[in-house]
Amino acid sequence: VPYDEKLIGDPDTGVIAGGVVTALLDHACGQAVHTGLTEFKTIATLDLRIDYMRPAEPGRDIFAKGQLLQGDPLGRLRAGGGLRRRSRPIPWRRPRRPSCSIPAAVGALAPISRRGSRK
Amino acid sequence: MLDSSGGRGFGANLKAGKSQMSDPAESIDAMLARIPYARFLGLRIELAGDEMTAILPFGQHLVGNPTLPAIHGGVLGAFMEMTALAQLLVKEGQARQPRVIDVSIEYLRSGRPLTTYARAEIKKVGRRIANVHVEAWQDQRAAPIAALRGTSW
Repeated sequence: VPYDEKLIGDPDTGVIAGGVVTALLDHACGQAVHTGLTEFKTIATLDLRIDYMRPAEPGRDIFAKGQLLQGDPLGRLRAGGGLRRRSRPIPWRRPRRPSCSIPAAVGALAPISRRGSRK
Repeated sequence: MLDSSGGRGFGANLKAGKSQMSDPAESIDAMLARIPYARFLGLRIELAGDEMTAILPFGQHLVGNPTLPAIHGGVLGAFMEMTALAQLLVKEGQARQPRVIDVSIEYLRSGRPLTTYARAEIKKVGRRIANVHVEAWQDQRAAPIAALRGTSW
C-alpha cells in the first residue's frame, strides 16, 4: 500500500490507520489462499488475528506478505502474513530483522462453496 | 495501530481528558473529521447519551468481492476497530487517541451492500490497557456479520 494522506489514522503523527493494515493483511492472506487453489473459487475470511507491533512509519509504503500454511478436512485453508518495510523478501516465520516486520497476522480462510457443491 | 502522544496510561488520561473534553458528541465529530481514513470510509457516529453507534454507509469503494458483491473483510475490521477507538474516546474522554495492541476478528456473515452498524462494549478499562468487544450488523441486530475483540492502550 503506497503511503497516502487519505489513509492516515492519527493526524498528529501522520501514521497510517490500523484499519488499513487490517485490510492489507486480510487481502494478502486471501491472495495467498488463491495461490493454493487449482481453480478460481470464492473465498471468505473466517477469522483474523492481528498483533500490532509498532506503528508504520509515516511517509513510507507498506508491504505485506501472505503465505498459505495448511488446509484442513473441512476445506478451510489457513494463511498467515506479516508486514515489511521493504519489498526485499524476508521469511515470514523468521524475519531476519524483526524491527522490519511491522505487525503479524494469522487468518483462516475458506472457500464459500464447499468442495463438490458447486462445479 | 495509532501512535500516542505520550506514554501515559489510561488513568492519567482519564483525569487529563475530562477537563479538556466537555461535549462527547462534539469531540467525537471533531476526531472523525480529523482522521483521513475515517473520512475515506465514510464513517459516522451517532450518540444517544453515552450509547454510541457507528454507521458505515455502503459505497463502491468498500467492495472486496465484486461478484457477490460483498464488503471487504479488511474494511469491516477497520470499521470495527475505529468503532472501538471512538467508544473509548466517548467513555473515557481521553486527550489522545488510544493505540491498538491486538485485534481478533470473527467473520460471521458476508457483508452485503447495505449500511453497516457497529456498537462497542468496553469490557474493562485498566490503568494501561482497555479491552473492547465490537459487534457489526446490517439489517438485523440479532444477526451480526462480524465481531471484534481488541485491546488497546
